[in-house]
Amino acid sequence: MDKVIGVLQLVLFVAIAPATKGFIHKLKLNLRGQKGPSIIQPYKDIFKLLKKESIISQDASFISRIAPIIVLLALIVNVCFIPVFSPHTLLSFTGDVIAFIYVFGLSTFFMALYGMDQGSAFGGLGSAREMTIASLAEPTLMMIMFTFSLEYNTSNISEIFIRVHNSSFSVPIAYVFSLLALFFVSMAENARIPFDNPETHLELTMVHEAMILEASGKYLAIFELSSYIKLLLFISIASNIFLPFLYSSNILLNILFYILKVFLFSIPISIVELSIAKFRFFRIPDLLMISFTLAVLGFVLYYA
Amino acid sequence: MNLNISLSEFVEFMAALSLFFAILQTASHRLDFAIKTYTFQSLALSITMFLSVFYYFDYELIISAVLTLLIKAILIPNVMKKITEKIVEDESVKPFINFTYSILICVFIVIFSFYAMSNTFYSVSSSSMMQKILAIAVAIIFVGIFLMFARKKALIQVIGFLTLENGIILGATSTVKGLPLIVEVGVFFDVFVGAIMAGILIFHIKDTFDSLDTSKLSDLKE
Amino acid sequence: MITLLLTELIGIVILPFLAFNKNRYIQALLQFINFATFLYLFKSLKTNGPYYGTYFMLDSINLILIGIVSTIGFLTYLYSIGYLEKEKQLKETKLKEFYFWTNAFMFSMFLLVITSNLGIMWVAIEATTLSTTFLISFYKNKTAVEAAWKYIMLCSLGIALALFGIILIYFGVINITGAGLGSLNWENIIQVATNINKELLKISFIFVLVGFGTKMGLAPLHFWLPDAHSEAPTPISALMSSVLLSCSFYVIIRIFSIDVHAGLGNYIYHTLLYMGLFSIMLAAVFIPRSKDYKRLLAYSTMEHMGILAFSVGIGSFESLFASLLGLIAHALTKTLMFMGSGSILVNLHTKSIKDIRGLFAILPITAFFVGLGVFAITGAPPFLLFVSEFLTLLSAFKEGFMWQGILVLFGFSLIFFGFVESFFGMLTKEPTFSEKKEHVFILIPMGILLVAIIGFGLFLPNDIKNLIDSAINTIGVKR
Repeated sequence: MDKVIGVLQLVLFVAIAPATKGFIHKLKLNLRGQKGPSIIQPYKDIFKLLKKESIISQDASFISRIAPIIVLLALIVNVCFIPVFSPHTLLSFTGDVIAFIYVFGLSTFFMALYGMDQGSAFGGLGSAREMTIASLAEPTLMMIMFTFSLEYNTSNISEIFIRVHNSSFSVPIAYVFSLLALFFVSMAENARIPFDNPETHLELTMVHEAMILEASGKYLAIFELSSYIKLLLFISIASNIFLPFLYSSNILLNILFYILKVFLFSIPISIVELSIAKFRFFRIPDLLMISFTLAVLGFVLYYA
Repeated sequence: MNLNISLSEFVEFMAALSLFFAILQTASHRLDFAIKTYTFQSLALSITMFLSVFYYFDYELIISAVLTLLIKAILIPNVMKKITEKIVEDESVKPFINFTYSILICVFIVIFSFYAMSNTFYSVSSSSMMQKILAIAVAIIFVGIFLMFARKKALIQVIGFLTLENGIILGATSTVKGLPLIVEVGVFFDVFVGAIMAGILIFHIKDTFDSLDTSKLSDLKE
Repeated sequence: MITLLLTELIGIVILPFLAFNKNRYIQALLQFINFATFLYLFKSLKTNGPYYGTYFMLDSINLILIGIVSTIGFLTYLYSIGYLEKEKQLKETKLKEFYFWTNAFMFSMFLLVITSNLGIMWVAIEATTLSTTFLISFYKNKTAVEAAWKYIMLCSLGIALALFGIILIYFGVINITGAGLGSLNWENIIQVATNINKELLKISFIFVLVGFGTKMGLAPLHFWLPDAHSEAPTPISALMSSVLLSCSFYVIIRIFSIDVHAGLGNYIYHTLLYMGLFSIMLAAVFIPRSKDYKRLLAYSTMEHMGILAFSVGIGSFESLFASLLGLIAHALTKTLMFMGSGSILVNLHTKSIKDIRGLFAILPITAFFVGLGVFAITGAPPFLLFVSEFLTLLSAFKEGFMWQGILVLFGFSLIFFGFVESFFGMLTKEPTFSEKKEHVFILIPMGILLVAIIGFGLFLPNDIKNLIDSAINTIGVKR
């Protein structure tokens, strides 16, 4: 039964990931006064791309073939760590926060490798920038994870999930700092606005798009899907572990609550993307250091 | 889970927010942003003091909180803004130490002060809230000192000093529930006059040196 | 005691109503009233014993300070009459501004020494910083503005830290007596000193020492001192060097005394001792290298402050006696020297030692005073400072601080060499300027001071001796 629930969670997660992206995009455009594509547009994109022929650069090595698969797989493994509506995930027996962070690092690493493997100038540029951001974002993520794994005396994500939803637990206010830090980190890791603009292919500013500029066909589809999953991963951490409201023991109700929470959490992302401009690349380390400061503040406010 | 946030936790949170704004000052590239963060920092401080009233039931703190709000969150930032408007110069703050390292150093300051306070004040502090706020206060003090030495522009050095002062006031609030009223008023008066005088001196610096860059103040040497 | 504060306020109030020429005499007269008040307080302390109130107090420690502030204040105002006569090219409002800030400065110093409350003490000492800032930048040239900026930033920073130290003491006290204005009262703190948490006092002493040490110009925190002293108008240099720094020392002594009564032991003594030693050695390095005589005097101030801290750090009765006597001696001698240097500066308009030769021919009486002052300030025999320095060294050796004592002695000789070389170069040889007229009000205060330091050096009145003795008993001796 546990396994079934685990598989169900995985399927649900992957299924609603593109919709989240679509929702954020649509909300952003609507707030801006435009109509925007419908929420299911990302699904259509993926199916369209899957049907197309994929061309691989003649300078590319075998890495270009395996990297997209590894990126996607690593993220799917991460999905198996994260409880969506029930603590029984596929990897709940070993769902460690540190493992989570490093599997996550693996996907970033192969992404960067892919960028460099193409032999085009943009790929290398994108990879270099991505690694800069990732190396600065990782300590923050680590700090955030440590904050609550120390709080609950366990590093197992499913255990944390159970203990958070225990009724006797009250949300410490220091979480606000950690949550803000997590917000910054997720914006950085998902190449969103203060760090990178997902909508442009302007050569000077792009980070994430530069790496997958050469990808086409089913490879591009895989990359797109991974980026949707990545975004939803962060949203799920925030909604399920940081602010564990709206939880019941009924699984069906929980699924509903989960979807509701995901859309709730998407709103601040689109609002922030609308209201601030992209930072210059050289300001990005500052921004990440500030998020690190927030994470540390959240941490020390607890354990002092 | 439930959501009953205790008052002491909220006081801690506001104090920590004040610390965060203090650190944000070290990350600000432009003077107007630094002034804005200073305003927010003072605002957070005055809310902290105001909430402490309900925690300690010491009503003299209300006066301190109002004074903080009036002088530090409204008057001084406005004076500073006037000064920056009058002195038309590029608004960059000119760091001695670059911004990323500055923030990192501030993070170390925070960790250090929490560590130091948890060791030394273990025996005397009566509540964990007092201990935490004292640590935050010490961190704000050191961030202020750091800001005074890490930036070249005269105005941001003044902001650093005011930050340091805020830290001390926060420390006084947390440990001794505010100084006796007459002393507190004296302190506020001194700080206010000091800020104004530093502002006037900034005009003199601008007049004589044609810049606010204090690294150019190097005529006096052996 | 309120008279002391009132006269300064009256001085500020009447400023705009009178022409400057009349004003300066009246200001000096007001300061004379303060001096008379001091004499009255001296007498009343002798008959009535110490007084500790909620806001003010009078005991032998602060009587010494009241004496220094009022005496030096009076003489400086007298001197200013002559000094500003020579600065007549300045605008009248500018000259009035000088008196405004000086009166504010004197007011805050009087408040500082007569208050019994540590919090008000802090407010007053910060007020001295603020009121002197514009006096340092008085001439509004590049160096003056720079010195003023360094001064206000460093001193405000230091004093703010000292406030934190005072808050920690208050924290320790209210755990025993409860909150309130009375818990910052020095006398009340002394009474409960033994019960205050020792850790808290230790941390607070560091903050206080760093804070007021900055203001006092102790060694690693002295950077503002030479700049500010050399840039301020000379009467202010004299006031700052001999009175303001003494006042900072006074606050340190008050808090030091709390720690002595609490029984903190060697910790506080050694901190002061080594800070003092470091100041003396640093001054000894810089004095022979100075090219500017006002700067040289500023470094000498640093040396004297070092001696004060050093002798307090030794902690025996003799050394404390040496320290308090040194405080008086420093105030008198350094004022004399600054007045002399001011007389040179205002007549010759240069601060460079190299440019001035043959002062005996240019300004004969000033040169005579300065020549004797050089011996007085380096601690040569018939003068008052000799007694203090000799006692310091004696008690250092007696208490077993051998190598420290030898280092200090070595520092003294370097300083003596530096002073004699610089000043005797200026006094003798072919004159580089034609003879100038010396103003009588510049000479009178210098004459008074010279008589005082020789007179006290040869024969110390019993009254002063008893005053210092009882001050030491109030402070408390190392046990």
